[in-house]
Amino acid sequence: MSARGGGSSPIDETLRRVVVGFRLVAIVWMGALVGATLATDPEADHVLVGATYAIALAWTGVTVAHALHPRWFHHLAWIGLDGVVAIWVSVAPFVAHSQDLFFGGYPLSWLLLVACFAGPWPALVAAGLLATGQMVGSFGEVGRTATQVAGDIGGFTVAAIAFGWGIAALRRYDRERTEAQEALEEERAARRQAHDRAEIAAHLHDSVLQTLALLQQQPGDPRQVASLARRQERELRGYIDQIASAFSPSLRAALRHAAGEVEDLFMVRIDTVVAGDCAADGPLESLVQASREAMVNAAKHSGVDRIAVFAEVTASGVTVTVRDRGRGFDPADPGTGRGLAESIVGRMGRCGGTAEIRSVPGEGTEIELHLGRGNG
Amino acid sequence: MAEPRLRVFVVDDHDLFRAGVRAAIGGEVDIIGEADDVDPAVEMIRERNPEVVLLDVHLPGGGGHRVVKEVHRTHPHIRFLALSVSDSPQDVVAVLRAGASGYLTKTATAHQVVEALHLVAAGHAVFSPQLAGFVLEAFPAVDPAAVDPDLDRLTPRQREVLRSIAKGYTYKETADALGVSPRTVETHVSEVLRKLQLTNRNELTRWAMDRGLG
Repeated sequence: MSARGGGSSPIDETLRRVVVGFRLVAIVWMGALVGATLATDPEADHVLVGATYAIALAWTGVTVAHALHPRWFHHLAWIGLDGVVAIWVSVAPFVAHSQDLFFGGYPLSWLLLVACFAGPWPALVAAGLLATGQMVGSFGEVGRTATQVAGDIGGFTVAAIAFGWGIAALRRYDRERTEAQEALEEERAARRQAHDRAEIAAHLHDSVLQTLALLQQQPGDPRQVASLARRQERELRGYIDQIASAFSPSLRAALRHAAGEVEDLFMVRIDTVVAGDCAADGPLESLVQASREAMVNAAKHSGVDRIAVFAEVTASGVTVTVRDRGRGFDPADPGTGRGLAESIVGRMGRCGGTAEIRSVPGEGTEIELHLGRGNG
Repeated sequence: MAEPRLRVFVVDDHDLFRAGVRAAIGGEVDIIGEADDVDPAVEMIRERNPEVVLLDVHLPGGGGHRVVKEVHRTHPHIRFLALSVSDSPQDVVAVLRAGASGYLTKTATAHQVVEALHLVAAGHAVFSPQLAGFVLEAFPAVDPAAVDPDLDRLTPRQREVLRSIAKGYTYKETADALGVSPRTVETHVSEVLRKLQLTNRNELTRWAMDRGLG
């Protein structure tokens, strides 16, 4: 009902468009009437009629320009200024002694603006001002009957009521709808959260609690206990990685998973460090496969039970290094490098990446895999 | 044995873990106190004045970084070594930004922990491979021309050092591979830690905010 502080909700934006659209229609409508008056009414003061139209046209231009940066439509000063132009346009036919009321829909476009941005009561006040202008103006007119004047006044009043309450109802409806939607979204979020909580609880129950129960049953076998604990840790970390990652499947989770499999298969320990993350799809799947092969190689041939994996995801690419401090080999000896050549170098080549193998007998092996991103 | 033993304070909310630490390293350092939450820890650390605090990054009363901040306000000379099972970079980086001198995962051996405690006590930074990875992630490699020139970011050499540590190489091996002295590697690592503690703008801030660190 009162003017709102310059918010820019979607409904405000729609109403702004309606106001500006109506103003444009009104100015065209008025233009036609002004044209007719100039052509057919020799009694009218042509200069005044033309000037009035120029003012209305210029102000319409200002309105359209302002609609691009709409901060003032709510402002009382703007509404008032708009009203001054509209009231002048509405009484100009009397001042110019025109036979026709050539203002067309222009005063109505002000009523609409008031109704949209100040509320129904101010719109009614605006209609009162316009009606007063008509009454005062028509005192000097001989050609206009009381019925015609009453009709004009009635028209403004009805328009103010229709615009004012129609738009108030529209705003109320929009507010209720927005509130309902927010409530629905809140409820959905709450339900999603409850679902996530239930899922996490179920997962912990199925995995961690089961493992702890198993551990309690066989405390006498340290190897078994360590292996169970290790497997459970890996499983839980994988689960957390995937939950925490914005990517599905996550490269971090995929690499850790691969490392976990190799650990289980070969009873080795793989320390995995991953800096950054991305989605492990497309050619990156091959990178994960090649990394796994490199881990298998290290586990099988290095003779040590600790392997280090480091992956770095940058904007330009992904690099994975698999390293051991094992027995190493002579890269120049064709016999030892064959497995690596096919399973790792070949695989990386096919997906558009590179593999670099550095090995020193007695010191260990480092395999560096690189795949560029963004170019397939 | 003439040398006095290192005085260490342990902060961890898990009794079991504190008992484990006592058993594992109690023979080589003096554990002069323990606490299980932020407020008691701050109070006792101030009172007992240890050389190094072995600190869990997760505490019920607000996270390990609060302990570092509070203690450093009155006792800036006390050093902190973070120790955690946490795999979340934000927790670890929060503790380091607050002023801890290093980070180890709880999978570290007793020997590694003792060694790290001594290093930290002597004023060095201790970067585990995991931490090097976190820091590389926290300072993304961007085209240097495209960024704010006064933004404190890692130099290519510092990134190289961190990569080597992340791959599991020791400071000495890293030094050999880069053809510099282990001392230079240590300087790089300390410089990276300093940057981490000082940088609170642009990239790092955004990175931290993305992860809800603020």
